[in-house]
Amino acid sequence: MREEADLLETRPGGAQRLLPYLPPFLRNALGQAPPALLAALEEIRLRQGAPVLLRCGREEWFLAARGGAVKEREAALIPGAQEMRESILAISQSSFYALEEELKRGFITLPGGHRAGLAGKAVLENGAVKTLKEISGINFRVARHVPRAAGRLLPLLFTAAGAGLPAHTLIVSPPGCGKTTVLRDLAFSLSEGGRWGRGLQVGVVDERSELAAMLNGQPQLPIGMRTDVLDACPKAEGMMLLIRSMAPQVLICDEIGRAEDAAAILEAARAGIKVIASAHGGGREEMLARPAVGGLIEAGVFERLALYSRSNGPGTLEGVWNGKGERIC
Amino acid sequence: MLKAVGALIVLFACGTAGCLFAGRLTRRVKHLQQLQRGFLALATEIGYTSTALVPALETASRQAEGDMGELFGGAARRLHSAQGKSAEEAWRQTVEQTGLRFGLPGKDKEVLAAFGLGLGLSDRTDQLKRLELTRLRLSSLEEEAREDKQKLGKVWQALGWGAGFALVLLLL
Repeated sequence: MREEADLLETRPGGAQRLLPYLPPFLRNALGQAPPALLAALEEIRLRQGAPVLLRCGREEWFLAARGGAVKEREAALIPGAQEMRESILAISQSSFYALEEELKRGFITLPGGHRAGLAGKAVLENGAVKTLKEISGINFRVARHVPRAAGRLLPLLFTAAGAGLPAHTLIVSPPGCGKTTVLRDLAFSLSEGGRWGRGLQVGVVDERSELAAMLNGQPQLPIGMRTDVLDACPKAEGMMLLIRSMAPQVLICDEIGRAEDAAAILEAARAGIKVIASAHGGGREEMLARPAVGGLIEAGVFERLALYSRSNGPGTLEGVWNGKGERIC
Repeated sequence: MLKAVGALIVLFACGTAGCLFAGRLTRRVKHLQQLQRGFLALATEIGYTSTALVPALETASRQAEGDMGELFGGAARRLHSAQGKSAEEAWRQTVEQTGLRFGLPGKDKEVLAAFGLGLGLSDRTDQLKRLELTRLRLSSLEEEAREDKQKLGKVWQALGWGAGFALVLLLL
């Protein structure tokens, strides 16, 4: 079963909007790639002394030294120390010192919600990562707004007994299957309102800054006009904070898994707030085996469990189960 | 009559030249004060709010005011429009240009150029150390410039007028 919106059928020029934030050597080479490839581009992986890889869905290309994309490794562009330095300059806007918090987290959010993940040598302070130095790998991830990514799922979240509020929902998928994109669209749709009901007050706890991709206090991706975002805040603490401060009707958070996350979800659910969360997993049974999340499913806290995969491209809805474990879709 | 007019012209020309040289010493003190204000603002922007370099330099430009505000503002503009240019390079070029425009002495330019090495490329602690070092060096240059102004300012003025008188006497 495929979502209404194919996650690859995005607004034209997904990666083209990333180009201005790339270092000149990368921008020039990538600019010569076919527009179709740029539109489908998901990741650009730079490693010092290794070919630059372009990932589009299941396909992988090398960025050619003379520009464009090739399949032959011999023709690939291989960045050296100078190119890595240029890349850091470009993504930090020559202000490496301003990225201390981002370096601790290992990624930098770029305008437009794109993201540069970093690998290098960790500098520790009191056993925790203080910063990264000698950056040896950068992974540019292209951010996309995918309208109606949760189009099929959304009507299934509303029941007659729900009084206009969605069901407590857990979205499950292995990494890279469009879970975050679906969550973001749910936040947007529930906040804006539509044929499923009026707009709701939505609170998003964005621990990894992936859902809203906040930059200087502005969400870089559409998240809805009635949505409050608590950025870079631990989920359990963030949920309690939002409940106390913003009185949301729906709470959304990404990648739950720890015992404190489960406790906070239970607390929110008892407070009459609808919770929509996501978790890594390959199926309902697999989730039941997980200590914290499994307990919530077994207790029937989640009234809906939606499973996504990449079987037919990112965002393939495999099935939806209700709180009793009955498959409804 | 013509001789008297000529003598006056020579006298004023020499006197003005002396005043101009003395004025350069006064201007250097002002420039060094403006630079210190700019670097203090830059340290605040980097240290307290981790502002990115371009807006931090723009704030420093407003705080420094005067001729040296141009140095920070120019570096911000150059860096903003730079295509892959490092902050180090943008700063170096701006120091050269500003130095030529406002006649900065070699010593002052050296301190400014040294500040640019590694600009924006290290962590906040290191950037703040560099800023502090630059401010200390500028402060010591300001002291030196003040002494020069006190000692040589009056000398240049007296020399200008004196040379004018001497020349007039010789020519007459």
